[in-house]
Amino acid sequence: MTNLEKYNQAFIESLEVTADQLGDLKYQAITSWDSVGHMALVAAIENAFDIMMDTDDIIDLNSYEKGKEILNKNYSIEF
Amino acid sequence: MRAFEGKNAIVTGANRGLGKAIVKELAAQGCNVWAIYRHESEEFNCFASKLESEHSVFIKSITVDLASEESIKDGYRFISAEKKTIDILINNAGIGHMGLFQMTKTEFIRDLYAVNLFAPMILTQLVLRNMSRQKSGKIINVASTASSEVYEGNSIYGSSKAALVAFTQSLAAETFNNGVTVNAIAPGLINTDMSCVFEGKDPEEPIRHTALGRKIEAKEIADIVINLLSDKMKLINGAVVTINGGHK
Repeated sequence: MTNLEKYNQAFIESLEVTADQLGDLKYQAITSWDSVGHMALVAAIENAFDIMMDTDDIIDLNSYEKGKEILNKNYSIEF
Repeated sequence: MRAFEGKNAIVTGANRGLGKAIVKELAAQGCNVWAIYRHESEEFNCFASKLESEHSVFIKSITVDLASEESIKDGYRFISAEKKTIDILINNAGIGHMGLFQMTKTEFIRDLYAVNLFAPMILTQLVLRNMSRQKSGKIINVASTASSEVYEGNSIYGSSKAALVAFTQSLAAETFNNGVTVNAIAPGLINTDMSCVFEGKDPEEPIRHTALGRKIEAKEIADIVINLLSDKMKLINGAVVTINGGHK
């Protein structure tokens, strides 16, 4: 699986969304991405990439696109 | 079967006093322990080895400077890398203090708050990630009767423990539906090295108004902690359990 596929899969499984919903996805814009959903998403991302995200990054991860930025910049994950 | 067979606990301030007594009782109930404390201790290592042999558990010492967020994160990373469940967190470590507010340096106040309040908050925030995924966990914060007592010299220590109590009570509301309970104990004066800090000029003063009339033994409190951690206590959440035999 590529990194992008792993990243997408984390969103799809933890937030129960479809692939075509991902691009514009933002925190609290859908019911499943509430604070509980957010922690499930973080867990899925951490497991997918075997990383431990910093609390500040967890809080800053407020959209699908932002998440990619954070993972790339702070965890050297290339997409 | 022992109460915590196969469970894993983190205990801070584990090398002496109440923390050490809690480690001992957890081990006796089959619980593995990551024992967090500041400086490497041969004495504690011997104590831990003995518990490991007696109870077939692991007791791993992890040196952490609880005043340092980075050190706390390093300690957590070590634990997390073992890929075991984290079932219990006992935020026990604390700095005791009794002194007039205007005679206390700001630097000391910051250091005290760093250990007594921020360290439990930082460690709890990290450990809750594991516990939330597990959908189970028990957190006990060691506060103090000082959190609600009024006397000269108590403004700093007492306020740090009052903050820990408030943190416990509100955090409990956030965690219960994820299967995690958060409670506090508020012991009176415990018979440990730290108690001399609170005695001041009159060693009888801290116990004069308690029905118990003596310092509490660390084991007596550890026994209560063990009971609070029991599955039978699963509906106890956001509670602050005062342990001093009551007032008179």
